[in-house]
Amino acid sequence: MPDWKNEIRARLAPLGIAPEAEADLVEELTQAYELEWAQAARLYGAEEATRLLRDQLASTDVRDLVVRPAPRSAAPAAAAPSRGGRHWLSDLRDDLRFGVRAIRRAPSFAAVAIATLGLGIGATTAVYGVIDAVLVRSLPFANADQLMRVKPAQAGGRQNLSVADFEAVRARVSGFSSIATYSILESGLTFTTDDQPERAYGTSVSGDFFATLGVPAMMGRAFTRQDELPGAPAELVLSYDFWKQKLGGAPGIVGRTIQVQGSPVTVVGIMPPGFWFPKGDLAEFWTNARFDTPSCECMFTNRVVARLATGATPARVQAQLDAAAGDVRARFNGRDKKWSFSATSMRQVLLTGITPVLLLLMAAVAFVLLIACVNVINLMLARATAREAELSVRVALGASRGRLARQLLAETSVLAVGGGLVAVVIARWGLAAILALVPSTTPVLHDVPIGLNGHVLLATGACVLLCTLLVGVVPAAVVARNGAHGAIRLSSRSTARSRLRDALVVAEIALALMLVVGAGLMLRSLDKLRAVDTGVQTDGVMTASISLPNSRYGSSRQIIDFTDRLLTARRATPGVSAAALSDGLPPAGVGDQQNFLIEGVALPPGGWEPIGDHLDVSDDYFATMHIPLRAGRLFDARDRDTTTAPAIISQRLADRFFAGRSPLGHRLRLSGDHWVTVVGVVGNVAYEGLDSEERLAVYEPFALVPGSSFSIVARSADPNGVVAPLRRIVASLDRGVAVAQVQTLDQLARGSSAANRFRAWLLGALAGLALLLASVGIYGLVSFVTQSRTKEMGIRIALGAQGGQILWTVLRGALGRAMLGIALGAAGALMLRHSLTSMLFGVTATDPLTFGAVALLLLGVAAAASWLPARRAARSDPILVLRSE
Amino acid sequence: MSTTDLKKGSAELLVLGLLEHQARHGYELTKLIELRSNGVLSFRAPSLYPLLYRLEARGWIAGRWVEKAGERRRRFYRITAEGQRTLEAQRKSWREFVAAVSSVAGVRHA
Repeated sequence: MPDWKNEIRARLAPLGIAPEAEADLVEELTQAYELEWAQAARLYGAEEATRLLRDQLASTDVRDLVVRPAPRSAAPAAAAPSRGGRHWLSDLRDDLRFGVRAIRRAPSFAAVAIATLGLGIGATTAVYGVIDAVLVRSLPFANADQLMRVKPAQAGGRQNLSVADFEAVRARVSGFSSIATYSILESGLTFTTDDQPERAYGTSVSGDFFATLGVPAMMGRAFTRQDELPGAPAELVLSYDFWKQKLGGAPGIVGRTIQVQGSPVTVVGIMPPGFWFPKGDLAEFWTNARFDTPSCECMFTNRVVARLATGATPARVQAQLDAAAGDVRARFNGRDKKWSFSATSMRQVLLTGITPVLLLLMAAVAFVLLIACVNVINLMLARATAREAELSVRVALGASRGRLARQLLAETSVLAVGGGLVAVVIARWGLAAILALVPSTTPVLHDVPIGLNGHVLLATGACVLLCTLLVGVVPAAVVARNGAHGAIRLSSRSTARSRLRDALVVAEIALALMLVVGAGLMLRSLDKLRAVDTGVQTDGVMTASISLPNSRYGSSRQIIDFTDRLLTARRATPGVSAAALSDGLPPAGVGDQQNFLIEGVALPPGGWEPIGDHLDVSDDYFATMHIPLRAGRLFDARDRDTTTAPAIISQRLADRFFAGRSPLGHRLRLSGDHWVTVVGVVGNVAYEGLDSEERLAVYEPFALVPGSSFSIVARSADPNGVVAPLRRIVASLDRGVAVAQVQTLDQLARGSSAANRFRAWLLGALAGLALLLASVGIYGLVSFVTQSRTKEMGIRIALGAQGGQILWTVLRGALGRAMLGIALGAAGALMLRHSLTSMLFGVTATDPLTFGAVALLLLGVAAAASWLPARRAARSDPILVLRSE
Repeated sequence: MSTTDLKKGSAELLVLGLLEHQARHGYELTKLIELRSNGVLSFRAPSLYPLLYRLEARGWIAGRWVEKAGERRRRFYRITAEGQRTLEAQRKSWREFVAAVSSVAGVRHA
């Protein structure tokens, strides 16, 4: 027999009763416990008796024991003032201790519940970790919400401004307290340190760039308006990471010159760590743009960031932007068109690609969390039913139902806290997995620190609380209500409760269906994207980017000299079957787009000139990429010294503007009044990503308009094997030229659908989790129902029912619930379709194939989850079953 | 009278009734309740003691330690005069309640 005296004394100790009174109490209670234990031990065995009584002791409200006046002591009265706080605390501690013990007694129940909650909360925490970093925490700029991006409006799809536009806006708009322009240097710059050329990527910015963003240099200085004057020297501001990693964090870097594109440039400042703009992978350096007085409204390469002045209203800013557009039209004799500028929040611009994805994921994890909670509620209800006799007796005799509900809530909170701890581990893995999956093209995600910080853990805590309430309240309420029937033995199953359980499982299936439909649609999109014809044969092509320094390659002759030798050596490389140059590759994008006009084809009045992708390619480009010739001829040696500039156009361009006629021999006017003659038509190529709209393309021979930055492509059975020879060739031609962005065309193509893959994978993982949890829920419910109907089944079997009939009876119930859940879930998915549309490709959000397949899948899962308990019921021995009743 | 009050009242009524003619110790009370209700009602000791202490605090019963030779001392409870009055009052209201329930039930069945 346990030492009840000690245990009871320990339990009473916190009450601070006068010693004599306490001794009386302890003695009396000890007697009762010893007698009770002896009786229980005879019935249930010593171990069980001890357990039962310890529970009783734990669940006794010890405060009730001290209402008795202690005749020989005034101590309780003296202790009274401090009782409130201690009560509350000791109650809580008692409740929690009771909760822990109750859970330790049912380890498998606890394990399932904790794991379920851990999965739900963990997934939520991981996704919230990303949301917190991207959407909640501020961008690394001062007062980021004041920053605006200025773009052309109603200007035929142009995204950027010319220098003339920028200067007009800067002069006119007093609603901006500061304004700056930045141009992305698409091909980067070659830095030479220790004779090693290396490409880095950054932007060319106007004087007020850093002032507008409100971030000062960490060392040295940022640019000023002086730095953008035409005669100003070229200067560099470097990112902290670039300085640390590429320059070894050399002290005294400020004021030193480094070789950039073959010329010395002075480093004037280093930015603080964590600063990036406009994108992390385009923020290794910033160089000062120097503006001549613009002579035309041309070269639309300037992106503009501005800071709203305090008190500036959107209407006033817009009026000033309109006035600035008028200035530009007046100055440059612009055609009478109604274009203007517009300003949108920079935060919105930066987060535009990622916000809907994150919100979708948040909704998905919320569903998973709900499903997890529903599962645990069901578990708790089943358990409460098993404990009903114990609970109802306690309610009838113990003081309050509230107390019992509190204890159940405490039990739940212990489970939820356990789930929370598991969740932190899961969230850590989940975040690592998410970050590993995030495509490098996703804005912002790679540029902000993402991890389990205090913020995120706070959210985990909130989830734990939410789960405690969601999960704890229902069983507590049910138990308290049923318990109130008194000490009379309850009929163990109420229809209301089984209906509640049914409803929970139906909800679970509905939620899971919505998630799986979402994931299914994403996967279908991915499949459609994979089937998109890029227009080239992507396998077996190695690409690399080369940028020649202007100092040594100022003339076309010098560039052609280099590229001719490069291509000759490249074609001679063992394993290379074809090689060519181009200034754009599918589907990574082209650097250049141009407006064009077709001779003899009039523009509709007020219409904009069409825009086409413009590429300069070497003769063998089409053969190397396997782009088919549809009409005319490809470029060849003839096109080197010709006076009529030849051009090749894409099939789509030919179809759209030369319907029915041959475009060969027709002339096109490109930007800058540059006329070309069509000599050939080739297949369409998806240059701007697989999911881009249908675009037009115009090709010109590289040899006629050589640029200093280009890609070299080589076809080979072993693409990776021909990288080292390329580096050797380039080094032998010019030691100061870097080979950068080495990747296969397949990798580029995969990169283009990376965002779709990211969404599909993440949503798929969450949907899988939901499906798993839902199937556990269905299994649990069906097991419970069949168990509670064991007697009925036994009678049926005894009356001659076949196993198959019993099986079907059970399955029918489960499948009925599943169908209801599927119907509700499908309705929900239809309601949510608009939130998905923008993320889909080639499939609608109401795709019947996806809906049908998912419905069948869920039905299958429900059938599988019900199968085991149903078979158990069908195989039950009627004799045993009936005898046990 | 709410269900809770009724139940609490009935537990008090039970204890007072059992002590009306005889002083008893706590454990004996639990056994008697179980026995006389044919097991329908079952009081566990830890649940009973709070009730006893409440009744004692109200002055309806009084407990004292009794020592017998060769045995452990035990605390016996007896009913007080005030407890007796309360018992009468509770019996009366209980009878009224039962009568009310029966008459309502009777009308229903008629």
